[in-house]
Amino acid sequence: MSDAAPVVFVVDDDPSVRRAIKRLIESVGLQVELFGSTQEFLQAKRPDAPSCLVLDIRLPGKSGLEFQRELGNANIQVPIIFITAHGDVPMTVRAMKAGAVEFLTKPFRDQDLLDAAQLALERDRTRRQQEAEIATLRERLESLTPRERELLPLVISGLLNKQIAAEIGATEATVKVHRSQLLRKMGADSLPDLVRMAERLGIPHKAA
Amino acid sequence: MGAAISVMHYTGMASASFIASPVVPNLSHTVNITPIANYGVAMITLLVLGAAVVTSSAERRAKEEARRINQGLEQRVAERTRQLTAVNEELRRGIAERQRVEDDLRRSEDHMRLVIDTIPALVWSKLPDGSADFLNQRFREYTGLSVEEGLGEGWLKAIHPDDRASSIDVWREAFAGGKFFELEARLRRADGEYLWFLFRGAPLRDQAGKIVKWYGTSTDIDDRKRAEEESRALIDAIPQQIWSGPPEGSLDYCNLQWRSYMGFTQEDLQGEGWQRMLHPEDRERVLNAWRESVRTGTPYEQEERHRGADRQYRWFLARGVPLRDTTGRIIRWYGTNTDIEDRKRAEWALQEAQAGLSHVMRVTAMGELVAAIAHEVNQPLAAIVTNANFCLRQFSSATSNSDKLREAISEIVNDGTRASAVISRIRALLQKSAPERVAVDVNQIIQEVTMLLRRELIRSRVSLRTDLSSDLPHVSADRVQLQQVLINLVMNGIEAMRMVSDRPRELLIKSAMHPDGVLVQVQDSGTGFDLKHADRIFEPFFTTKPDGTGMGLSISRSIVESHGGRLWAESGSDGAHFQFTLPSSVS
Repeated sequence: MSDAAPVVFVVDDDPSVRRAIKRLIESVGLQVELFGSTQEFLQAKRPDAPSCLVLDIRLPGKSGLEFQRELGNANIQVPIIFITAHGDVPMTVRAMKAGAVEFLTKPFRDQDLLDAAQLALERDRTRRQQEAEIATLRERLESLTPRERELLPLVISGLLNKQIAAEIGATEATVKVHRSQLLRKMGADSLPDLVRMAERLGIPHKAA
Repeated sequence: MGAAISVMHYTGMASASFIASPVVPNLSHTVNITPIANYGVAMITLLVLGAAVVTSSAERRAKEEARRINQGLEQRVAERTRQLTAVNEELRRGIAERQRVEDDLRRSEDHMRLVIDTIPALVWSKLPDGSADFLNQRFREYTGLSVEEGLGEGWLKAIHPDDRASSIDVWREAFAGGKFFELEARLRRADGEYLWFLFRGAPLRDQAGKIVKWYGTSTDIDDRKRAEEESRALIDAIPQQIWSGPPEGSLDYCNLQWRSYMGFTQEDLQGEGWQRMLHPEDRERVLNAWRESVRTGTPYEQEERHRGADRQYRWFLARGVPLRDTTGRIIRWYGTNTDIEDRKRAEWALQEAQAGLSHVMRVTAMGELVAAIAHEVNQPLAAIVTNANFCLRQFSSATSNSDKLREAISEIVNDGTRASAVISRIRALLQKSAPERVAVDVNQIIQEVTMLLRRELIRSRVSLRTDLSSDLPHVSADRVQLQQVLINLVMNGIEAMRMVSDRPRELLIKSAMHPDGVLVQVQDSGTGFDLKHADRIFEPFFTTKPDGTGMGLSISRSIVESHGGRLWAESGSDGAHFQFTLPSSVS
């Protein structure tokens, strides 16, 4: 849904390995950006596009696992594919628990890396889409008048216009106008549609 | 009592000297007292003669004659009377003399009795059948036995029940042989306590040489005996094995500690009996060393294994020293055996720990090395594989880009070269860690290594033989690295023979002169190796062993080559021969 082309970030301290990975991934038509260290990665201006990170678990300075935690703390949500020189089961388990997409042992099978990259990008794409949708809804929510905002919890609670009118001390006709404005501004086709949107935005029902 | 006195008559010796004397002198004369009786006979004869003279009467005519005769007679009577008086006087003197002799005798007898009853010894005499016929007062007082109770066999009751049978045996033997005897036995005191006494007895013979009687004394040796017992108890109680024996090298005494350890009796140990507990492997060495000490009189000290009553062998430190008399002649050997099994085990454990440590160090170093290698080599490998995969994809793709292919392939070449450089760097690293070069005796290194691996050899049931050439020149080398090479080769040899069961597992380490310097060979009796591997076995990571790292021989070769030597292998039907040369340090 996003227009931006997906990007695969590669962090590996070995330039030769970096280049080889870039070559491989590019061969399937994906964009690749290379970083020699996690620091470089953090400092770089990353494109706003679905992305994933291929990360060597054994890096100079801090370990890939530590970096994974750091990214989580900084709320940088990028799916990670770990590659390591030696398969270490406990390390794998920790990485996967922390949300890694895949854990590959060097030298890895090319298809495994490509599959993992596709999976990671897909996962990121979905996440981005959901985030985008929520951002849109939030925007729509912002466009509501205070009266319409007041009305929203009552409407999604399934109250009748008459009941709402009694609640807010207005006429039933006024409520009717506000309600249609509310649905229109929020881009909801129906009351159930509006209820779903409110749920995603975390707006609670307000039972009478 | 009378008997004792008569003995003094016989010998004419003072009682004390008789009693103390171990030898009874030959009694060959007797004292005759019959002359005293002859005086009595003469007196009676004279009295009868005198009476006849008084009762005779003659005629008047004969009166003159008679008076003359009478005068003559009177004269004779007077003469006789004088004589008689003289005889009487003589007799009186004789009687007085006899009285005096008898008094003397009685006094002497009283004195002797007093002496015999007073001297601080129990004195007794026995008849040839062994029954007592005299016990002095001290004997009676000590034992509390009356004369009636003690005489005959009665005194035997005072001998300690445990000593009775052995005492009787000694007596019987002495009586049968008629020889002076000595024995020690406990004798009951009147209060019931038993004290140790030394019984000594000697026979008295008549002129025909027949034994008439036995005389003897019993002396209180309780203090000495108790001291002896105490020191024996001490010798038996101290946690040390103690032994002693005559100068010629046999043993005749071992304390309780040793006897109970071996489960031997004193008799089992006598002479060469103790040698049975020696470990067969130690026997020759121990006996040679002992014989040498005995021959030269130098102190003995050996570590040896002794078999215990439980059939298990333990290590002992045996030490012996000679005791000499004032002239320097050896009187006796005294020695101890100290259990050093625990110390020995600790030593082995230490050795093993050291060997283990060096092994751990090797393994650790190897582990680190392997990890480093894994990472260093894996990077280019990962790149190579990835690039190669890319190439394959390109070839099967309709839109393959030859520029990109070339690029990828040249990277593959670069990474391949890089991987090889990593290995070279590791080798260089190994060689760099060899700064210590000193003049080293190769034979000494071999001995150190065999010491270090002794347990390993025993555990793997490998018998080690060394054939070391003396007069080898020193080589300039790093001790530790050289040890490492040898350990590697020996461990390889042991490893190679692990499966050998149809022939002896033998490892031979040889050192010899070589045109290049010194040659060291390690030969095993294993299955050898496949000739096609002869060179590959020195490559890094090449291994024919399931758990080998494949670095041992590679590193060994690197080390030897860094010393300017060569390491190569040959394989025969009789196993593998690994050999290396090292240039001598003088060149």
